[in-house]
Amino acid sequence: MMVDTYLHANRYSGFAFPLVCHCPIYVDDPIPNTQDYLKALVFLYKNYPYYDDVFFPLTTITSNCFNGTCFSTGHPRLHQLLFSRQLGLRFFGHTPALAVPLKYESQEGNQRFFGETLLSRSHWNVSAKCQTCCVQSQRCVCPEGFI
Amino acid sequence: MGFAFSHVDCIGTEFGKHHSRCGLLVFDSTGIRKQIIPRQILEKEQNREYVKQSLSTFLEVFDRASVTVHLILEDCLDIAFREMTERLIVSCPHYCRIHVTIHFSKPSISWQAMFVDFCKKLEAMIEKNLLSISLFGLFKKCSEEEKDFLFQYHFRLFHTCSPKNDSSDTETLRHFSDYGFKIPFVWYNGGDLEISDINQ
Repeated sequence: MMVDTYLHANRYSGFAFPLVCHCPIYVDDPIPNTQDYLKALVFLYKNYPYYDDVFFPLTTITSNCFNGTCFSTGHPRLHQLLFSRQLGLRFFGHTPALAVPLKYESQEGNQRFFGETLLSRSHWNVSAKCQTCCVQSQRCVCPEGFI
Repeated sequence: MGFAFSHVDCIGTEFGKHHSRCGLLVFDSTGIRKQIIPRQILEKEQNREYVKQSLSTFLEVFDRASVTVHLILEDCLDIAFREMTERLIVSCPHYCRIHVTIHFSKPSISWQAMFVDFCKKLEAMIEKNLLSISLFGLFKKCSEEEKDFLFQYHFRLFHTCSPKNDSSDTETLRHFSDYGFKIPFVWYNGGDLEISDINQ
């Protein structure tokens, strides 16, 4: 069995089972049927319950649900940035396929600006267009919602 | 006083129920540091802010935001891009813990040659555990010197495969594991997926 072989080879260090859209290199590839993917996740969880410390995508979903904000400041705990030569700096919630541009000028002295930009995500004005998804997920990935 | 613990990543336990010096023992998520809140304080509603403040101070060290910067290895071949990335990392607010994740489909010829300057400049952050670098891709065997470099700067390695880039090369995984690396493998799923694929 393939999972067994890999686990044995890497001294049982665990594994993850994300969709292709979670890798910036394969974002444009087609994703599998939802039901098939869920069946595969269930199969793996039932058969390999002890190697789920890096079990993507559930780890990121849970970290967004529990302790999603910093205790002292109240701003989001997780920030995912995608930086590339062609498209510059973008950020995303769950998948790089939905990354949107983040205005950032790489100059000295703009540390405060960058920190505030990141922080401002917790105070986004949700537009009417993306209200449904933003309110449900509490994290906006739509360009309209970004200040 | 559940209000104080609703957003805290910690474990609390009551101690000394039948003792005058009883109260609540709060551990952080590592279980190493602890804070004692006496029962006399917990019982009074007017101490609400005091408890909240003392817990906040106690957990401040662990209350950091996490910024993950995803990069593609082909972009990192450019020195100017690497320098921009350095500036981006340094620009992140001080309360952030930064994870640089580098994705690739073909491994670098030499990790050391490419990232030695990058790591040296950011060495202080790596040592303080404020910066970690992860490599996501298909690895090939490399020299002891390369592995020393990756180990020295605490690189985290993730062996990936995808429908386009499948590899059954477990020998490389074993090669790194024997050295001491912990390498989870990441299986990206796309296209047609059936359980029989996993069950091969």
